[in-house]
Amino acid sequence: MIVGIGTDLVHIPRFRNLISKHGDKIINRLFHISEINNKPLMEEKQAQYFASRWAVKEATLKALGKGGLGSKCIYVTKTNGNPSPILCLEGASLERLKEIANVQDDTSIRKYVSISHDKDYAVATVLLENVKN
Amino acid sequence: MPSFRNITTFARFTKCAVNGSIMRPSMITPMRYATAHSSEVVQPSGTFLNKDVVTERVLNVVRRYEKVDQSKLTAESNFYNDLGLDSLDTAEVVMEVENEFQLEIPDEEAFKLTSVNDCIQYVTSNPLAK
Repeated sequence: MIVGIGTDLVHIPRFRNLISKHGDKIINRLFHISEINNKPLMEEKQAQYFASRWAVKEATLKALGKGGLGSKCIYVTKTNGNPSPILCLEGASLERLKEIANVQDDTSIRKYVSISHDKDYAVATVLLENVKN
Repeated sequence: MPSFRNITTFARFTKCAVNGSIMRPSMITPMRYATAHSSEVVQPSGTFLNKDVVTERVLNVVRRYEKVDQSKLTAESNFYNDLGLDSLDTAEVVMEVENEFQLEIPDEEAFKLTSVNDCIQYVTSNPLAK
């Protein structure tokens, strides 16, 4: 059973401006440490990278149907050799997921995320499914 | 990172050219530094800024943010519902408030500040606000 779906669109120049104005401070405020550690080395790629990760966070909050959970508890990782991103929820976002799926632990939950970008825009879609019900 | 390199390779003890005595750079005598600049380094605890002054300064910070609809801005405005900001805008406004008052708001507190009044409350209850 699908427990939530969400989409978000981000204007990449917003992140370009944010980074040039506030630098690492705003990135450290908004992003999970693993996202920061895996940022692209090329500076001109970083706005696109963080914009698409931000889209994932917003899309996830829409799928969870609740804001105000903070942005660090939702993040994507990639495993070596696999280009598909993996959505990770912890803390407040994980609690909310268990609440809407009505489960004690998240072993039956499948989290799907898809990211795309073109020129000035990044988009992400998140789908949350409980495979037991 | 030239500045970092300067620090790490900086001689911890330097010989004074005039009298040959050993001089230590001020950065390894933090006590002396703190005393000389105590008003800048440490605020006496228990000094809170006046609420009216804080309100005006927070309103000025928010007013400078270009996306804010000036006609709707009051001390009670909610960033999302009243001022039409999104979460990214709000994160930036809160960061501007930090800069204005020379504060470091912990990340887990910062995202809970969602209105002008939340910011005023936070600043007026923080003795380190300048």
